[in-house]
Amino acid sequence: MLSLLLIAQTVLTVFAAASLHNAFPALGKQFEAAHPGVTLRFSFNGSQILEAQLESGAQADVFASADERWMDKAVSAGAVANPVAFASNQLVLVVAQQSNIASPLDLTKPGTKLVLCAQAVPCGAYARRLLAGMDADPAYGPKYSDAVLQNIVSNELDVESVLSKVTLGEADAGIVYRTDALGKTSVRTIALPVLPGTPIAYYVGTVHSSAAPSDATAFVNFVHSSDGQKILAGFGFTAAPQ
Amino acid sequence: MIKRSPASAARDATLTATALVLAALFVLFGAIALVALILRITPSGMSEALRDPVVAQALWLSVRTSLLSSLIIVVFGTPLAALLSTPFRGRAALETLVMLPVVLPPVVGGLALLLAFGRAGLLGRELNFFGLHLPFTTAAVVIAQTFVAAPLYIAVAKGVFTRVDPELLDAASTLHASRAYTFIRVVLPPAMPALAGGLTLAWARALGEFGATITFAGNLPGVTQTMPIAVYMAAQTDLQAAIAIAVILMVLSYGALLAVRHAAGDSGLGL
Repeated sequence: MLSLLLIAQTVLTVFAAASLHNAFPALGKQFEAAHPGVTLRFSFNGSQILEAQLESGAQADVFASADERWMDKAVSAGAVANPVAFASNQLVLVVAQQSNIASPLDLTKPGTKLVLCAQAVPCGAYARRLLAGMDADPAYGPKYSDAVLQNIVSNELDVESVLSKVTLGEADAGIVYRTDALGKTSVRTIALPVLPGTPIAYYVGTVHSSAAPSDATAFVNFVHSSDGQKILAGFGFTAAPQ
Repeated sequence: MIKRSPASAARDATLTATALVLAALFVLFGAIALVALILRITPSGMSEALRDPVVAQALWLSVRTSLLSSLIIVVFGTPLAALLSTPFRGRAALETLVMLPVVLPPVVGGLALLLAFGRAGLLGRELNFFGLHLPFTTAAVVIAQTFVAAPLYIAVAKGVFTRVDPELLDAASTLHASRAYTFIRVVLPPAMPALAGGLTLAWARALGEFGATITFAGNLPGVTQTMPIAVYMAAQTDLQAAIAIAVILMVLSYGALLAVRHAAGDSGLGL
């Protein structure tokens, strides 16, 4: 009780991509333990939504985006500084348990109900880029992505909604991050190819208007530290692309 | 005439003034938000939005679905409101149930619809048997809108039916008019303006529906992407386009609400 009174409480608000919603609280717990007096508060949402909020003057201290596009936008708007890539991820196909989809090739079958994140959402942009890249692989053929995109029944606002549509059995398949599907028994996970030169990169930076810039920087540094990276790895994230 | 003391007259004046100030502040509160939106429109943003096929598609889809929802609401809601206006055992429980979607967060409403009418839902097998796959279809948009907006019409209609002059009903019954005849010839005609008002309210709610729609029907341009969803999508990438679409939606709704008020006379919304 006395220590609570003596140590000035700082509350750091972290805006983080929806796909970090399991890893970041774990990261935060360890950070708080190492930094008495600092409490973390998380706001998880689509990176594009968080970026729009920051541009409109939302109060936050740290921004973690699931792709470079929205981090760049936040930086060029003057809202965020010193962005660095801190993690990578992969895309996987999730299908309903009872679905007979066995490989990414089955996504071209007419009538397949496929849900993706919308193009504005990082997972949606990554998914479309991957599908387009698969056209160059003779195993899929040049018309692959066109046929797959024909089967989209919904463009969801975040990766969680994609997963839930498949979990509920309403959609046949969806494309999500590997970390989202990890440990989920309600869906089947099918690997998707990883194409060279198109890595998924998460970025973190400090918010310009932060009232506690040194604590914000400390958290960003912690995300990079070997301790932080270990926690992220535990949730299935891989090292940031070089 | 009741004699009034100067003190009570002064109290009256204070009350009136307070009411006026509160009312004015409230109007201002709403108006500022709308004005802020309108101030941000640029002519280029507006003309771009109007020419954008996705916007036209969303607008047309919203008009079609919200009108169809309104039709369904009238057809099913009017008899239900008439029923609720007559006393019977369990009426309060039934009425509360009917009104529930109003307080339910729309996303939860959408989820409930998915769990009921989805492919893997409660009635999924029965619907599949008839080849009906509702999620991700335009029909799902109409269902979501109807679910969320119907209580608004039913509440207004029930109120109107309850206020029918009992003497008129007595007169009709002395003339041996059937209940159906009485309802159609005696109860309905004077209720029309208020019913139209209630329906407009429900239509406007259907037009603005977002949460239940995106959860139950999804988001696909031309099929399930209504105006509110198009605004939300645009707001994430192109604020100018979002504002333009929002203003179009606002002008459309305002015009329609005003038109109904005029058509129905001053009692218009009947609330």
